[in-house]
Amino acid sequence: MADYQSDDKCFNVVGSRVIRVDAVDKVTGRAKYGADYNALGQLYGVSKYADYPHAKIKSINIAKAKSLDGVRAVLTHENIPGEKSFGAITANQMVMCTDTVRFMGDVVAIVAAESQEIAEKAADLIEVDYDELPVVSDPEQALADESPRLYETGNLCFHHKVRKGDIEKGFAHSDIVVERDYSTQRIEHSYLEPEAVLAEPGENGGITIVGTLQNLYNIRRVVARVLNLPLNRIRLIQATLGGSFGGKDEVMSSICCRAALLAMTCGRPVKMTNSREQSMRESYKRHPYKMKYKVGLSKDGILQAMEIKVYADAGPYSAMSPFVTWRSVVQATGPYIVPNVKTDIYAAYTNNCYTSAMRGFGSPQICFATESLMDELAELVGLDPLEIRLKNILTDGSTTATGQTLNHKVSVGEALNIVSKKADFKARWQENRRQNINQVIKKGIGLSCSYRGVSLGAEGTDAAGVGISIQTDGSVVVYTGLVDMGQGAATTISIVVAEELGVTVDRIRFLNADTTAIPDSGPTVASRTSFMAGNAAKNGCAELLKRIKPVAAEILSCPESSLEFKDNKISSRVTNKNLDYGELAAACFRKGISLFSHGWYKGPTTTWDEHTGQGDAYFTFVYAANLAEVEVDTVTGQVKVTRFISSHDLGRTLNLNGAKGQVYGGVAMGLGYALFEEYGQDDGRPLLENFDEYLLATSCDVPEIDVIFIENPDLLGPHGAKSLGEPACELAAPAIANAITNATGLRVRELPLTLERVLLGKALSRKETRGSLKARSRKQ
Amino acid sequence: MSSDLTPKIKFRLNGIDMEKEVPAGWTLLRYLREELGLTGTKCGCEIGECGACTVLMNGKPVNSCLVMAPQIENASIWTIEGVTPPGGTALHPVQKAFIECDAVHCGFCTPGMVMTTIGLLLQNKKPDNSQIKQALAGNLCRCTGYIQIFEAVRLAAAMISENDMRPFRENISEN
Amino acid sequence: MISVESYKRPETIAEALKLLKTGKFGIIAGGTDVIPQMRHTPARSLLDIGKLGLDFVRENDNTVEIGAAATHSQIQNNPLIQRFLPLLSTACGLVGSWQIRNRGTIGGNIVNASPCADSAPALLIYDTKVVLLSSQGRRSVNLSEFIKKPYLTVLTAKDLVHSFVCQKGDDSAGNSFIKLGRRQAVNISRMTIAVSLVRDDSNKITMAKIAVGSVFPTPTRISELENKLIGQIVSKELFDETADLAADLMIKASGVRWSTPYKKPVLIGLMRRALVGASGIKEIPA
Repeated sequence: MADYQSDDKCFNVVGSRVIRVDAVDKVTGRAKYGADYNALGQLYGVSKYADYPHAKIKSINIAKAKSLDGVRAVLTHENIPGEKSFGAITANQMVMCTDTVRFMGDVVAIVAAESQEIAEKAADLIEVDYDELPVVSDPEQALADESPRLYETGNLCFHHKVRKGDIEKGFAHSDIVVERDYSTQRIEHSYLEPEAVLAEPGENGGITIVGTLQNLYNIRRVVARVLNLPLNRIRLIQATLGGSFGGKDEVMSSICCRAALLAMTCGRPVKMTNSREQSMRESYKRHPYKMKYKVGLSKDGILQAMEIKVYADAGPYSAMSPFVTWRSVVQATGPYIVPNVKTDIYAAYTNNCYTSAMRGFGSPQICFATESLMDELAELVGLDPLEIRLKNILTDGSTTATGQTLNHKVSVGEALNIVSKKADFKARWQENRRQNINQVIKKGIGLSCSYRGVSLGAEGTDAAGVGISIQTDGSVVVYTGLVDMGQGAATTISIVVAEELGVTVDRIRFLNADTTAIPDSGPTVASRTSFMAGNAAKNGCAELLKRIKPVAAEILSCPESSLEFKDNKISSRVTNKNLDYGELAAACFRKGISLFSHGWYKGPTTTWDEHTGQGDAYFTFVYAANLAEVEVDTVTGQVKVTRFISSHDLGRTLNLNGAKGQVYGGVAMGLGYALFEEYGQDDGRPLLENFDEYLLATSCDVPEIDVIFIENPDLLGPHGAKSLGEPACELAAPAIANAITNATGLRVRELPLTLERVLLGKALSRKETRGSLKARSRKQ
Repeated sequence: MSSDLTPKIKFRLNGIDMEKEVPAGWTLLRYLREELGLTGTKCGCEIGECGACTVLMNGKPVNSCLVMAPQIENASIWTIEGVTPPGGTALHPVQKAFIECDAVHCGFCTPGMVMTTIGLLLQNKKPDNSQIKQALAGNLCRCTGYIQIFEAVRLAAAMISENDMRPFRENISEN
Repeated sequence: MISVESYKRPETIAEALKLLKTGKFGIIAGGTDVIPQMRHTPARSLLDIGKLGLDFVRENDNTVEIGAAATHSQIQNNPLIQRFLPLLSTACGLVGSWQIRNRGTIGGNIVNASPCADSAPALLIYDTKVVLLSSQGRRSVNLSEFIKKPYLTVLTAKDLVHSFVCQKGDDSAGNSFIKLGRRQAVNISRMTIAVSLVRDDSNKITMAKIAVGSVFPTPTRISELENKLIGQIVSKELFDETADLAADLMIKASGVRWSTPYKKPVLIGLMRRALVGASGIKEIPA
C-alpha cells in the first residue's frame, strides 16, 4: 500500500492509477526485445575474449578461424576504419584491443559466420599469443608509486574533492574523534535480458542497428567515430528493453561497433547476442568502494568535522567513473549538517571488470557508509539512531557540504519521523536489545536516510526534448530520445501529455526511441526522465494548446478562457457545448494548423568549483528514509528481512503504480546488495559467471514493503515532480545492516552481509578451487 | 529425413497437434525461438536459474532451456503465445491480473511469470501467500521486487474459472 | 551454446544397455545438471532415458523402490514416500526451484555426486541401495559406497542407474531435515543435516540415524554419532556432546580449512537443532 502525505491535488490523470502503456504487449509475449529481431540472411557475430586480465598481445593468428567452413569474417583492431577507443570523458575503452588486454572481458577479435555454432568454434580457433603483465586488483594499492601501471600516465582515473570550513579546527573542537572504514562490493546490473543487437547495412552506405540500447545518442556517437561515418548515416532503434538499470550504455557502444563492423565488412545483417556468461564477463559493474571516514563530534552528538577518503575501483576504463564518483563526493557526508568537511575520492584503474553507471550512481556505497556510521556514532554518545540523525539532519535553508543552500522544503527529517513512527522505531530498537539476549533468532530494526541531487547536476548540460503529434482522430503519438527500459517512462511521460492535452492515456501511443526521428535528449540516467522529459512534454503541449485553443473557441463560440480539455473532449463552461478531440484535430488540420510540436526543456543551471568542491551541485534534491526489520539466525548467520518501510519525497507522484513499483524494485535490489550479490574476482579473474552463483533476491526473500510518499511539489518539476528511480535502491542495504547490528550487537562494515560476515563479523576467503569448478575441468 | 539428430516426433503445442523433425541438439527454448519463431519465451541464463524461459510441459512449469527438443515427444507444451492466440484481443485472466496490478515492468520475466502462475493455479486454485512465493521462487525479476506480482497472482486466483484453465490440463499425467 | 554429436532415445532398457555398452554415451534424464554442464564441454553423445519407464515409485515389503528418472516433484508429492520416507520427500521439496523439481530426477541428483546433493543425506538415512544395470547384468551397491568422492561415483560409462531401493523408515521416528542456504529459496546447499530418532517412553533413544551433506567430502552417515545416542536418555548435554562430536569428526576428516571457522560452529548449532527437532521434545532437560 502506498500512503500519502500530501497537499490537495486537482489533476485528472496525474497521480492516478494508470495501466502501463506497454503492458498488453508484454503479458502476451508480443513485445519485441533485442534478441527477438532477425533478418533474412543474417550472420552470427561472436567475440573472442582476453585470456588474461592484463597482458601484452604478441600476436593474433586468425588463419585457422578464417578457413573454417561457414566463416564470413574475422576482424581485429586493424580492421577498424576510425577511432579504436571511445569514452565520454576519457576515450580509453577499446572496441578491440590493439596491443594490451586490461581485463577478462576485453575483446581481441570478432567473427561472423553462418551459424552461432560456427562462429563460436571459429572464435575458439583464434590464437592469441600473450606476455602476461602484473595484475592490479586493488584500487587503493593501484595508486601507490610502486604499483604496476595500466597506463603510462599512471592508474589515477579521477580525483574529486570537497573542502568546506577548517577540518583541523573541526577536529580540535570535537569531544570525540573516530575513524571507521567501510567497503562495498562489485555488483552486476543483472538486467534479466542479456545484450543483443542486429546490425543491418543499409542504403546510403549507412547502418541500422536495433537492440538493447539504453542511451542511443551516446552509442551512436561512438559507432560514428569508430566506423568513420557521419551521424546521420547511423540509425539506432531501441528494442523493448528487458531492464537496464544504467547497464546498457558503454557495453552496448562496444557491441554495436563490433556488429556494425562485421555487417559492413560482410554486407549482410549480423546478429550478436550475449549469453549470460558473456554478459557477466564483459558488461560493466557497480564500483566497489573502500571508504575511510574520520569524524569529529561533540559529546551531545553534534557533527563537527568529517574527513573522508574513498577509493573507487574503475577497472581499466574511465567510462562514467568520473561522474559516478562526483555524485559520491557531493553526497559523501550524508544528509547531515557538517561544518567542516574534507573529502577526497579517487577512482583508480585496475584489471578488474570495468565499472560505470548503475542505478544509484555512486550513492549506494556512500549511503552504506554514512548510515552505518551514524548508528555507530549514536552508540558512542548514547543516543538512539533516530535521535542522532535528527540532531544533525539537513533542514530548510541548511547548507550542504558543497556550500549549497537548500532553498526548498527539506523533508529528510520528516521522512525519518514517518517511517520511525509507523514501526514504533524507538521503542522497538530498545526492546530488541533487551529481548534478544537469550534468543537464537534475534530481531533487529534499522534506519537509513539520504538526500540525493536530481538529474545530472554539474556533470553536464541538462536538456531534453519530447515530440508530440496529435492525429486527426484525436489520438496522440509521443516520442522522445529518453527511453523506457522497464522503469515506466513511457507511461509517466504519457501521463504528463494526457494531463496537459486533456486526453486519456489509452489514446496515447508512445514510440520507442529512434535516432533518426528524434533529437538527442541526453541520456536516460540520473533519475532525470520524469523531471526533464516531463517538463519538455509540458512545454510541447502548451505550444499545441496555444494553436488549437482558438479553433476550439471558434467552433464552440465561446471565449478561450472558458474551454476545458478533459477526457478526449473539449467543452465550454459558458456554452455547455461539447467538441470531440478528433473533430477539433481534424478542423485544425483543415485550417493548415500544425498538430506537431517539439517540446524542449533546459534544466536550471548549476555551479561547481572543482578545486574547492563548492557550488550549487544540483538544481534540487530529493529526500528519503527507509526502515528495515530483520530476524537473524545466530546459529547460521542467516538473515531474513521481515518488513520494510520506504518513504520518499518525490515532489509529486505522476504515475502512482509506476512509483510504487520503482520503490518495491529498488528495495529488492538493495536487499540483494545487502545480503547476496557480489561479482567476485580473484586477481582480475571472475569467480562466477551466471545466476547459479551470482545470487539475486527471489520471491521468497522480499518482505512486505510499505511505501509512503511525501509530496512537496518542486517549483521546477513537472507538476512538482522530482525523481524516484535511484533513491529507491540506495537505502535498503544500510537499513538492513543497521537492523542486523540491532539484532546481534555485531557491526559489519563490509557488504555483502554473507552468512560468514553476519556470524563471525568477517569474510572467509577461499584459497582453493571450488569443487564444482574442479569437476567441470575434469569433465572437459 | 528423420535421423538421429533430427528425430521426427509428435507433440502438442499450444493446443495444436504437431508432428515435426526437431533438432536433437537444441534445447526446447532454442527450438521455440529459432525454429518456430515463438520469441515470447525469453532466454535469460540458459542454466535454469532465472525462469524467463518457463513453459508448461504437461501442465507443469519447466525451464525450456533445460529440456532437449526431443524430450517433448508426446508432451503438451504451452507457451505464452498460446495463452493469448496471436492477433487475439481477449486476454487470459492471469494476463489481465498482471496488467491490473502493474506487475509488468521491463516485461522480460513476464511470460515466464505468467506461465508459472498458470501452472500454480492449475494445481492450487486458492494458493496462500507462502505458496505463491514458493511457486515463483524460480522466476527471477529484477524490476518489480515481486510485490505487484504477488498481488497479480492473488487477483488472478480470484478471477479464474475452470474454463480458463481447461485447455492447459490436456495431457496432464497423474503424479 | 551446447552441442550434441548424437542423440538416442531408446524405448527399452535392453536397447539402452546395448547403446551404453559402446561406452560413448552420456546419460540424460531431466537435464537439469547435464545441460548446464554441456555449456562447458565439447559436443557429446547423449542417451535419453526418458522413455524407459524409470519414473516409478513402488512399495515392496520393507522397502520402497524409486526409479532413477522419478522427478523431485514426484517424490516430494508421492504418498508412499511421504509416509515411509518422509525425510526424502522433504529433501526433494527443497531442491532448486519448482521448475527444476519438475524436471530434475533423483538419479541425476545422486549420479552427479555433488557433496551438497539435497537428496543424498535423506537416502542415506533409509539405507538406500543403488540398483545398476549394464549389459553384464544387474548389481546393487550401497549408496554409501556408490559415491566415491566429490563428483565421482563407481558408475562406469556402461552402467545405467535403474532405481533406488530404500528401507522404510520407522513409523514412530521423529525426523528433522535442515538445509542451509544463503537465500530463503533456491539454494545450493551450504550444509544439509538429516536426523531420524526413535525414543521410548522413558525418553531413551532406541534408534538414531544421522546423515549430513557438505560436511564431509561426500554425503555421509555418521555412525559415531548414532552410536553415541543409542541407549541414552535425551538430555541437553547428550545433544551438545553429539553436536560437538560431529564437528570434531568433520575436522578430523578434512582438517582445518578456510571455511572451518564458519562451518564448525554452524555444524554444532544445526546438529543440535536437528536433534532437538527429531526428538520432538520442546524443552530438552538439562
